[in-house]
Amino acid sequence: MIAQIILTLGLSVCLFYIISLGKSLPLVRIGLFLVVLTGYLFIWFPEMTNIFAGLVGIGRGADLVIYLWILLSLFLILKLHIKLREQSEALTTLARHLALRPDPDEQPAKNSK
Amino acid sequence: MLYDPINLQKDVWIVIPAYNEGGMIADVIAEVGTMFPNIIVIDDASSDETSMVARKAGATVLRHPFNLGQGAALQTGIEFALSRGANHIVTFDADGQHHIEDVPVMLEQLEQSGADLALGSRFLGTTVGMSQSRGLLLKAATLFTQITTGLKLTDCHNGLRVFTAKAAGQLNLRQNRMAHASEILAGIRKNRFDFVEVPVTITYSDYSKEKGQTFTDAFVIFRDLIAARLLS
Repeated sequence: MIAQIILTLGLSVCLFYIISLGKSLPLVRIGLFLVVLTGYLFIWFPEMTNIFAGLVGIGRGADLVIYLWILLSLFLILKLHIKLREQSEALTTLARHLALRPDPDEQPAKNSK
Repeated sequence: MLYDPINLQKDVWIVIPAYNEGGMIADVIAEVGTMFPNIIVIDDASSDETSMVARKAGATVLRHPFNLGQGAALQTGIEFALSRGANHIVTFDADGQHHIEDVPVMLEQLEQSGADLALGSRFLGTTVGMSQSRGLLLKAATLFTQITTGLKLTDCHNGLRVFTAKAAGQLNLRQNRMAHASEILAGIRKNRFDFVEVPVTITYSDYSKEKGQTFTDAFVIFRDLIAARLLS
């Protein structure tokens, strides 16, 4: 019972965060919403995991949860990696733009004297 | 037909990416300057005197606000040279490995063949002071690139290249770090560029060995390329 309450509280924090996202990122929001709902379901009706596991040919419910978790994490890592790459390309463009400005170093040198 | 130095050299830009090359860059610029007046050094946010030394030696210097890597520096230099109306862009290493006498030959062969770019090859030419292990590593890298790009090349990690303005404009380097060498070759295949390989001399000094790529860099390049392939 204690574990269930703690887990529920944790998920509720996530839910609050998802709601606070507002209307941005609709796909991500719906996805996370589903994850949280499934979480609630599995926390309070753990035997459900066994039923779903049986349906897809996995022995135990706990295994199903772990497999889903691994899949989700990998997906998130990939997504973050792509995001980081985009960021670094934007940063490169910005840095190059700065470097290509006309006379970046000569101008202040002249002014200072 | 000989390469016409007076009419062509003012449209040639030498692009030298440099990161903490203060010890060597002045000599390199002086050597390049004996043949080509347009020299652009991209200081990739060095912590030493590279910018100041290069500017004193007579080069135009651009400085990245923070370190981006050699590929990014090349791209910055290429964009600058194109904006100045370059006809040909030469990429040249800052560590004294390359010899400027090879460049007129490359330009001449590029003109004669009508190709889009000329690539220097140390294995068609000569090397001075190259260690056996480095030779083997480079041969392995060449083999890897031959297999992955399908290009018949003898030396794929040579920084000495000559691009026509057209080829340089179409080639947009996105690999900021060292994987750009393979990216250039992938670009050649994608854009169906014609290229010629020209024998050049590479001299390994103690300085260039210290600054050059190490064995672990090969793995970094490999990782970058795999990542690029997965994400493109």
